[in-house]
Amino acid sequence: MTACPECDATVVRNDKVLGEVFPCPDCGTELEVFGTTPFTVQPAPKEAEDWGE
Amino acid sequence: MSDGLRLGVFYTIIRPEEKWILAAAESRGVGVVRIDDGDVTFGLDRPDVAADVVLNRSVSHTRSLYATRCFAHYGVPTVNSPDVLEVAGDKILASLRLAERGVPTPRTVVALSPEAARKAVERIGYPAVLKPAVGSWGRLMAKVSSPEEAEQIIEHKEALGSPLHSIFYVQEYVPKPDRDLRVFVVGSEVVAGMYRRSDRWRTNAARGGTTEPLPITPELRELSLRAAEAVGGGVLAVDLMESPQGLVVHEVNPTPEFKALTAVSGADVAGAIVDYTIGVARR
Repeated sequence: MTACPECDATVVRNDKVLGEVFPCPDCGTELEVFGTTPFTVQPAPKEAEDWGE
Repeated sequence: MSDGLRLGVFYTIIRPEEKWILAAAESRGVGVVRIDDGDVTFGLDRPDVAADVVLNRSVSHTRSLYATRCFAHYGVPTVNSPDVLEVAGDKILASLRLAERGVPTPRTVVALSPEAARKAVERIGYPAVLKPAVGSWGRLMAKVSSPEEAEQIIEHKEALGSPLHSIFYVQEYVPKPDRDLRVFVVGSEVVAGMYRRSDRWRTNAARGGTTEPLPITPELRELSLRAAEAVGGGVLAVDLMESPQGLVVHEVNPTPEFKALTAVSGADVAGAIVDYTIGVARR
């Protein structure tokens, strides 16, 4: 487990993979799995203008 | 059977779609090379990435364009190809291609300056829809119902500063039921389809639209395959509307999401994409 960089809530890895984006269960900030061993997270990249399908 | 095939997955972030793709590759015994679009570098003289084929899942149109060109330079095929990404990722180029191939599409006028944009809107008539040439998820789209509204939108777009915001893609507003249709094409097959419903004029799932299963009629299948073929073919989500004159194709998405489609249709979209990509590697 690790801490949300925004609100310091505990975040658990479970089956999350490197690069996966998920919301912090407490504050809802979008987080990205930055490392798996050890488990680390960072705020997910912000949506850019050319993002899409 | 993998034959030692190495499937590169070029990505920005890992969403459920990418997790399903990774799982589908693993279940087929294919080795996966993950390529982070924010981390990879490309030399001119040698491949920096050891993959036999690359599946583009980057959400950035710009990164996708340059990366697939680099992979092509190395002789590594990509899904979709750089040409398909270039055409389908740009609404102006895609509309030209659809019109050239006789695929029914909403009436569209392109303008290259704010002054010309005012004329373009007058040519289309009201209500009209202004869309960015590049972009998705309904971002920066505007429906204008009067010259005053058009003026405000054109001024705002001009103020955004980027030269691309002074390129105007103006389309007729299609009076349609509160839904549009999405058909997912992989190669020469239609994998699944869904209705996207919203009580607002934009029905994008990313805008909170809801989804329902879409039966694939022969007409829908034929039109969707023609639209996909018009932009070069591959893995493509064809968006259609039910206009009073019949079905019209308004968009062909070259790096489509399929989380909602998988949920509503039960189709193994990720598996179909991986199988198709493996097939491209073996051509």
